[in-house]
Amino acid sequence: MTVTDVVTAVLLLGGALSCLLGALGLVRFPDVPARLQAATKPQTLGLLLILVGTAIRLEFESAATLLLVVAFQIITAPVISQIVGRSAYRAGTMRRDDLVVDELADPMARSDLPGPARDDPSS
Amino acid sequence: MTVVFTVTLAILAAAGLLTMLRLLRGPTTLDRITALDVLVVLIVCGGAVYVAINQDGSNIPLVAAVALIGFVGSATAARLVERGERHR
Amino acid sequence: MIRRLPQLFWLTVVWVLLWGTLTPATIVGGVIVALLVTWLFPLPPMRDPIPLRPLRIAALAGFLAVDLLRSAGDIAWETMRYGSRARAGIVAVPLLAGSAHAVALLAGSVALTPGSYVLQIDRGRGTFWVYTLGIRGEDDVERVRRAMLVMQRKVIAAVGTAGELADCDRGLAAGTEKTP
Repeated sequence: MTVTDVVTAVLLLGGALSCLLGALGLVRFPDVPARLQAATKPQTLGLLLILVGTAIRLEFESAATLLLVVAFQIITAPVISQIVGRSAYRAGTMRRDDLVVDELADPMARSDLPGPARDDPSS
Repeated sequence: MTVVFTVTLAILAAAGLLTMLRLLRGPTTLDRITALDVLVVLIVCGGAVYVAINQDGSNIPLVAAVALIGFVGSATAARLVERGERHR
Repeated sequence: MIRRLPQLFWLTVVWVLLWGTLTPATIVGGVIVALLVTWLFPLPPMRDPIPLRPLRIAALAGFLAVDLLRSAGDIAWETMRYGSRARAGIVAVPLLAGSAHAVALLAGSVALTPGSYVLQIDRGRGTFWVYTLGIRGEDDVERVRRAMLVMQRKVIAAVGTAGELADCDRGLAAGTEKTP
């Protein structure tokens, strides 16, 4: 085992475990937004670790493409969670009794009404 | 190193099975979209491990393509659901 | 045309990285593809210039990397400890970033912080709402609000204008006064 092998082993196993924990959260959490958290964060970290672990075993040219995939994932994961999360809230699939506070409930209802509400001077 | 690769792939497979469980159980379309997105990420991870085993970069375009198509698919499906909910 | 140059450059870089080889053929191919993409799908012109501060952006990237690690750990903990009894909350945070790119970067950054993502942004009202996993009481709400303000400070320091930064500091001071 060379140093590269050890680093790869640590990164691959860590990444896989992160993915597994994410999948576990996907099964165990009670509603869509919570599952979304499990789907995005541990998965992004897992993919990042596994791809970096793979990249260090390859010559630079192939590694560059893998790092590009990592960048794609980091840019796109928030987009997915944003769209799905907003749909979940609008569709009412979020379990309200699980929310400790919901400071959006009120303004959301009001935003359907016409008329500006520019009460914050900082915007 | 073989042991490391085997264990990594086994863990990824276990994660895939759990994700499948959510995919089958739903209950909403959004749950299934989320699960599918995770499945795509797991497939990309598996592909990367395959590349690492063979130390051969010729499969990397495949990994990149799956990652990109997965994003486009999930985003499109999620937007479709959102639009459907608004029209209801 | 001049305004589109940075865009063309980045698209070409992505193309070359995808091919993984730096040869004249891939570079020319990349430029052609980039021209085609920008011609077919033109982006609306950027009204406000983006001040680029490489050091601040690097600091933000480092902060986000640590955050990603922490959030993966936090969610694993939440899964193991609470599972189906996980609790969450939606917190309103004052929006201090004004320009479109700062808001976009902010929303992306929030998605990498522990258990959170942006649910709704209302630029007119200067507020955004953050869904956060693992909220159990008022203390947590204030903790999340403060963390989001600090995050905004970092994002604006990276890509915001000097005016925005001053506004942000004022808002931050007001925010911390409200929550002793």
